Amino acid sequence: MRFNKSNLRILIPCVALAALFLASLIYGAVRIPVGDVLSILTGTFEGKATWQSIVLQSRLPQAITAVVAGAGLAVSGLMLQTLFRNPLAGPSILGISDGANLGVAIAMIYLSVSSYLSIIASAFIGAGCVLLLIIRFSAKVKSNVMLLIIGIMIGYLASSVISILNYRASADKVHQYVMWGMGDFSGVSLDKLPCFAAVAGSGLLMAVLLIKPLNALLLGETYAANLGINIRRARILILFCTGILAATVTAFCGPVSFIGLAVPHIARLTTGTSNHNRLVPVTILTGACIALLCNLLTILPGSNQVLPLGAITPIICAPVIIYVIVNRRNIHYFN
Amino acid sequence: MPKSFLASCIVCIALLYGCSGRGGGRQSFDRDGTVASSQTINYASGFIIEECDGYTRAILRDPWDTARVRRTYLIVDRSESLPGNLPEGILIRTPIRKAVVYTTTVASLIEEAGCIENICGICETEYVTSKEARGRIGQGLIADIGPSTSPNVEKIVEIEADAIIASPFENSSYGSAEKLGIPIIEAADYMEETPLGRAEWIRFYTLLFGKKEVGDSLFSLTEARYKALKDLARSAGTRPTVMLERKYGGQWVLPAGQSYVATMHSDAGADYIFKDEEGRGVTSLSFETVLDQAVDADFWMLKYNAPAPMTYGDIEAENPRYKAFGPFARHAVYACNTATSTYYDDITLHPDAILADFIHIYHPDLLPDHKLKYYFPLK
Repeated sequence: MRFNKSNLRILIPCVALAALFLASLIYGAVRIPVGDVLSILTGTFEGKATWQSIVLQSRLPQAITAVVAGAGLAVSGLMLQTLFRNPLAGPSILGISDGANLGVAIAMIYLSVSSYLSIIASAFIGAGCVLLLIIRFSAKVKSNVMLLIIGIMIGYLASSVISILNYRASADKVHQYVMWGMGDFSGVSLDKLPCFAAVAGSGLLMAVLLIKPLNALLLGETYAANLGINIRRARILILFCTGILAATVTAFCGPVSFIGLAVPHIARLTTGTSNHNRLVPVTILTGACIALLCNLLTILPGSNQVLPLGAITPIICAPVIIYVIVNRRNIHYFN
Repeated sequence: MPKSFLASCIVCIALLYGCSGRGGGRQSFDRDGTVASSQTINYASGFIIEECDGYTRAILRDPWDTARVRRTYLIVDRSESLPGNLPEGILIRTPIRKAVVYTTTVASLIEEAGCIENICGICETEYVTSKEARGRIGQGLIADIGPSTSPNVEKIVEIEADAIIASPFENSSYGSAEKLGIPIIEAADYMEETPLGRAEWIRFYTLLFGKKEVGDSLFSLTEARYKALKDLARSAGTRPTVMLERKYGGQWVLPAGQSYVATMHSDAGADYIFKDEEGRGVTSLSFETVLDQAVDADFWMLKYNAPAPMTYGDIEAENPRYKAFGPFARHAVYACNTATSTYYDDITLHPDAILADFIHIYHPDLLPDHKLKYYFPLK
């Protein structure tokens, strides 16, 4: 098989993904020798039961969660950037993750609910309400810019209700909410993983099926309409798909910022194209890689302590965004 | 333009630095020669009390920089005239008649010392548990001052408070409350490393309300009971291992090795698994670290805040991996519901009562007739 440049551009993130995934199983707060990790994975390990539990029930689901969540957030960021023709759009901009935050704040602070399943359910309800609201507005408002502004306003409304709830809450409830708000890939256990992967996976599949209308939207709405694309339907489908992805990831992992905003730019930089045929798979792979990398960096080397995920993602992703703003002309955008 | 911008930045930083040095008390934590006698403070490291000529001086150490003085209070009885030789410090005329208290924990201490009539405002009144205080709030004798992070300053002025008792946080100010001219008394008891150190703050609080003897006797009782229980626990033949709290978000936040909670478990004759974690407050560990080190713990003690009692099913639903811990499998998990118990009211002045719960759990034969009050076995 001959390797041309575009094959290589897919192959590199694939290799990086495999390497980072393996590193996530080997490296953690507890030191487990590489040989032992491999024998645990192959089922031939006969040592400490705790190590087996750490690798199979803690590190493995955490790595899979990071892959799915990173891919989902990144591709939803890409779709929104194309839809709004705005390089700074991301899954958090439409207020969907703020909706999830609000759902969780009401559950944790107002209703004093602390079980994991009810937190997921409340995040989903919050995000779903905002998503329905956005889709409803998208039918009324023709301009994408106006829709974006409405999304931002809904986000502000949700944030302000959260502030009021936090203002009146006791210190331990605020603490509980703040901890949730820092994002975390370790919350999805093995038994919940299939549910999370199935919903997020169907969102990813839908994103792949939307490649054609996404490419058409690059040409502008009028051209896209001339190509036979039903603009209204495409817009609703893209919003629905990004909404499902953002809502699922936020519900299971808490708000994970910056990955959805920054990864599409990394994908554009590496592929040098704005064609979604290539951009969507590379974004999915890069999103998964960046999420795994951020997850690895939450563990302080040589220490038992862990850093919150929400503190790591901006460190990795914010420089990318600054680079993009400074070098915007060199990157293929919506043309 | 950039040069002038840079210059103005430097000036601003210099001004801010200059301001931070004032009022905060940059002097070092040592005494001068005007002291007539000083009271013996045996356990608390955060304050000293000195009897001087015509006034009492209380010096509060900065909990975050223990070589520094955070506040110096000059306490003069209302019935006495002000001595002419008063050194620099914050003047408090005692007994305080109308105090605004930011934390319900300190309010409950003041109530126990018999000074509830002297409290005229409390922040976050919804967390007040005592019947009498609730009654006074209902009658309007105690005002709700709002959240402790941003109290209602106009209300403080309206009720004519003559002192504010607040909890200090590192590098934080008290906002506009500082400009009212009302002395702010810092209640840093929660930063003490030992339970008795924390309890000893009652001696400082009661001094402010002219009830020095009451404070001393309350503390002596707690001290005697705590020491007796600690000695009893020392006689136990075994030291069961204990793990604390549970995972929030991505981290397992638990008391650090030098915290007063860690000290209490040690005093109760238990071996706290994370006693070597540095720090006086809390520390954040990953789930796998806790699992690796605490999987075979004998007991698991946790606190939660919920309207209904927590069950094994609840914590399993929260995280099925909790099942891997020995105490879960052996049903040796004990939990304290801070929403329905008086844990936070009692932790300061009655650590002995909480210690008794711990000893009964860890060494049932030592206190066979004790009835659990805070920590109960999970159902």
